[in-house]
This record gives sequence, structure tokens and C-alpha cells, in this order.
Amino acid sequence: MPSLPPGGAPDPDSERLFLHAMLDSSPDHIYFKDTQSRFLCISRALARYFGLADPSEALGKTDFDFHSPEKAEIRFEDERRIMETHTPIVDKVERQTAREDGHPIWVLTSKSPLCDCQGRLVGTFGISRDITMLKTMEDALGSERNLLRTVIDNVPDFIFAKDADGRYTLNNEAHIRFLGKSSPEDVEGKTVFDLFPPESAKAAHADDRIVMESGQPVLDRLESPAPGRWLLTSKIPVFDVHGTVTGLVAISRDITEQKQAQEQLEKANADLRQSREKLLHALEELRAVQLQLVEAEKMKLVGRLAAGVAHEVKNPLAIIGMGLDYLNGQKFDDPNVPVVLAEIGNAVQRADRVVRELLDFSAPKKMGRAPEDVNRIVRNALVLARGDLGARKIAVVEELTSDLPLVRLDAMKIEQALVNLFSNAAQAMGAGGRLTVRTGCRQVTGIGENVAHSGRFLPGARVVAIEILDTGTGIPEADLGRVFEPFFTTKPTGKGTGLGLTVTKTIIDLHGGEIEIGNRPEGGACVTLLFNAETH
Amino acid sequence: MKKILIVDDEAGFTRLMKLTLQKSGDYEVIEENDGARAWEAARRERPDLILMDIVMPNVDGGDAAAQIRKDSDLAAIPIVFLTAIVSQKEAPPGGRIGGFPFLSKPVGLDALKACIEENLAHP
Repeated sequence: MPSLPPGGAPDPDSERLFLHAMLDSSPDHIYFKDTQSRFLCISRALARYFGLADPSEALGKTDFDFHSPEKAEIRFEDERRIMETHTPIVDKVERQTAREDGHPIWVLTSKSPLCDCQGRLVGTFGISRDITMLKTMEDALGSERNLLRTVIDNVPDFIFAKDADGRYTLNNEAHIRFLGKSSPEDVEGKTVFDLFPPESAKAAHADDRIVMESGQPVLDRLESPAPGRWLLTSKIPVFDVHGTVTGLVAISRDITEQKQAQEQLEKANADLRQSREKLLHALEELRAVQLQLVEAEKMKLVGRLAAGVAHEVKNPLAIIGMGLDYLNGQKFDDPNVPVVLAEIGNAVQRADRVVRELLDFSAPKKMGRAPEDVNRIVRNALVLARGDLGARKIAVVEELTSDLPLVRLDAMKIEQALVNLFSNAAQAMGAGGRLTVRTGCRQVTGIGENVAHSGRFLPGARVVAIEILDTGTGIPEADLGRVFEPFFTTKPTGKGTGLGLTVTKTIIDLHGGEIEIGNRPEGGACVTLLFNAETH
Repeated sequence: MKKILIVDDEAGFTRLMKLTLQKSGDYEVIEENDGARAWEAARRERPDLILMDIVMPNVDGGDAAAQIRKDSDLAAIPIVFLTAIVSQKEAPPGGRIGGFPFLSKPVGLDALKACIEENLAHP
């Protein structure tokens, strides 16, 4: 075993030992050849490759003994050129074929001229390393990179990456075009502050900071890089092997067109809503006008009829009345005659009252509607009905909701209608009882009980309600459907003309409102008046 | 004694009116049942007051009253309309029709006399 002097050059024995160790154990193919390209010495790994049991078996042989003539020729030529030019071949990548199964392998080869101690050329030597695995990995990486680049450059979305300082490190073609540049070099190294107006640059940079500092992505952020331009951007942090954020990648989509379409849609929607409201308003007015026209036409007929009836009935009544006045001045033997005359007089008065109310009913009704506070009208009507209610000792409970919307009403007419209803309630209660008057506002939903039965109120409309609740006898179920018919009355003969509710309903109809009458579960009747609230 | 001319196409009414008024007070009542002859009757009788129905065939009470008013000899005679087609409630303010006071049929004797006396005193 040769010794190694400390710190000095190895002696020739040691050098030989090193060379043999390398030739024996290196996985690389190492050879030495003479000027005729005959092997002088090869490594054990190369001997194995050539299928030899021992490296010494290669002595004196050439590449033509181990390779195809074509390949051997290439090597032969390489070596001849090296010897002629004294120039080595360094890191030449060669494709070879595995001897055992013929699969392709890749080797990295370097060849140099071989000189003796005096510098005379005595041959060549070379070393080859199997780099098939590296080459395969490189190819795989290459195709992966190629795929990624193809995706990045061909998606219509903008893709870019930035370093920790917010400098662009990668941009796809769409992003470069979007930035108004023509090549990656125009953008790389720049920041948003070099490319965008200050306001949008500041906003984008703030998002960059959030991503980098939190290590969390910012997803689907709506950005406006310029007035009227809209992007939807997601930014994702990029980590190094230590988990430190080294930058970010981002994908951004130009949604300006969608945004414009959405805005147009919203505007169209708003226009539609406005048109709908106008139409609804017009519809309501048309309905009111139609009702008034129908009412006017009807009332013209009824008026003529009433005038005719009045003339034909009142004249005979006048004759009977005058006859009674004449007889009342006489003396009779029969003591019953004055009683008989008084009964006839009462009958004349009753008949006269009916005709008079018929004339009132058929009188042309002109409406003077103005925005009114319903509570005020209710209170006025209660004052007008005070006599009737007070005389019967009826307690009045007011449950009036404050801040009601105004309603377009003819205050006098509605007061007349309410006084009629209060008077009916009073008569139904006789002596004592409680009259509750309630006001409120509802929104028509079109669902269930909330919807008005006539369809006069449209879903969404605000409706002001007046409820009149009494503790009287109520109305027989069978009569509920007839209470608005002219001359229908439940009162004792001579107490009512049967026109009060008819007139009331006409008044409510002329307002485009609604009247409902029912019985309360706890006894007594309930009348509900509904009106459209003022919309402006 | 005051002379009252009553113009009404209802003969039964004028007859009973005449009987009742004459019995109850110091009145002479003249009946006329045709509106077309109202002016003629007024010129002939020169009444202190005329009770005039409105709805009548031929000439109605309104035209008959206007005809009498145009005659300067008769213009000062008070005229009261009696009508079956206007209820007291629907009457225009002041209880007058076309400037004339009116009574609605059927009218009681007391109301009738009160109206006659008032219009005789303040024509």
C-alpha cells in the first residue's frame, strides 16, 4: 500500500492506484486508445457494456468490434479529427442503443488527445456517462413547460405573475395586448404604477399586498382599471420551498361587456318598472272614469225614472194630504175618525219620504276628489253622527293609525257614507253597545286573505282601510249578499228606505274603493272600506 | 180677502186645495188646470198670489211664470212653485227655482199657509 506524503503530490504508485480504482468502480465508460483507435485500456463498466468478462479482453480491439460499422465510423472520425487538430470534444450528447434490449439511451461524451511525458501524441482517451434518466426528465419538463406556455398564451383571460415587490415576472399575450404593449420585455420588471392610472394602480397594489402578506388568495375581485372598463381578477400567492411568499400569480377576465349588458338590463328593468307603474296608474284612472261613466249613464236613467215616479206618486199624495188637511178641520161623531186620519197622514209621510230619498239617490253626483287625511274625515263623520250615537248611549272607540298615506277622496261624500254606516250600526245596537272605528294601511300581496276580492287593488298597491265594528245584532248570513241592493232593508217597516247602503256603495265605487260587510265572530257586524293610497 | 190663483193640471188637487184654503182662512181661490191659460187667468182675475205647478202638459209652469212676469201689469204678483219632482233636500240654496220660491208636494196645510202669508207680505 503506497503511502501518501502529507501535503505533497502523490507518487507514481499512488497515481496508478487511483486510476485503477476509478477504472474499476466508476459507472462511467472510460477508455484509452492508441493512434490507430485501438483500445489500450477500458473501465470495467465499459467492458460490461461491451459484454466482456474482463476489461483486458478489449485490448487491441476497435469500436468496429463492438458497434455497428456506421457508429464505429463516427467514433473513428471523431478521434482522427481530435488527433489532427489536437482539440478535444467536450460534452457531446450521443444517442446510443442498449446492448441488452436495444432501447435508446443517451450519453454525454468528452474525448481528448492523449500525449506522453514529452508531449508526443500517442492516442486519445474519452469518458461517457449515461444521462438517459436526466434526458427523460428534461424532456418531460420540457413538454410540461410547453403545455403550460400554450395554455397561458392561448386563453383569452389575462394571466400574469409578480415577484414579492409587485414587479411583473410573467405575462401572457392577452395581458400584454391589454396593457397596450407588444412584447413581454415591455412589461417585465414594471409595476402597476408604471402601467395604470394612480387610483386603479393603488387599488390593485393593495390587493397584491393582501395576498403576499396573508398568504391567502383574493378571488373574483371586481376591478376597474379605467373608466367603463371592468375586470374580474383572482390572485394566488406563490410559495418557495420554505413556505415564504415569493410572489403571486393572477388570472383576470375582461367582463366589461357583461357589465355593460347587466347595466343595460338593469336600466331596461327600471324603465319597465316605471312603465308598469304608469300603466297601473292609468289603469286605475281608467277604471275610475269607466265607473263614473257607467254610473253617470245609469244615474241618468234612474234620475228620469225617479222624476217620473215622483211626479206620478207625489201628486196623488198631495191630493190625499190636502184632503186630510180639509177633514182635520171638521168635527165627527165617530171618535175613531181622528185616529184613522192620523194613520193615513203617517202613510202619506212615509210614501213621501221614500220618493224623496229616491230623488236624492238619483241626483247627479259630482266628485271633487283631493288628497285627504282619512283620520280627519272619520273624526268629522263621528262628530256628525254624535247625536244619533249619544242618544242611544253608544260608546265610541277610535283606533286610528297615525301617519296614514293620503287618499284622493271627496271628503263630503265619504263623510256622508260614514255617517250612513255609523247610523246603521247605531240602529243595529239599539240602546247601549260599542262602536269601534279603526284605520290602517296595508300592502296588497295578492296572497290569501290579504287580496281584495274584486281585484280592484293590484298586488303591491298600498291600501288604506277603515273598519267599523259594532256590537249589534249582526246581519243574517242569507242577507249578506243583498245588503247593497236598492230597497233591501232589514229594518222594521217605516224605519229605513233600503237606499242607505246602496248610496254608500255608490260613493265608495265612485272612489275606485271597495266596501265589504260581514259579521264578527264575537257578534255584531263589521264593515270594511278600502281605498288606494295616493302614490305621489 | 186675498185672491189666490192656483195653476195645476191635477184637477183633484186644485179642487181640494181650494176647499181647504178657503175653509181655513180668508182666501178666495181660483183654479186653472191648463198652463197655457195661466196668463189669461191672471189678467182676468188679478190675484194677490199665484201657486204654480211646474210639470204640466201644453205649457209648463216655468214658461207660464215667465209669460206672467213679462206682463208689466202682472209682474208684481208673487208666484210660488209647487212641484212633485224636487225634494226639499236637493233644492238649490235659498229654496228657490229660477228666482221663484217653491214648495215640494205633498205640502202640509200649515207650511202652505205660512209660505202664502210670507210671500203676500214680502212679494
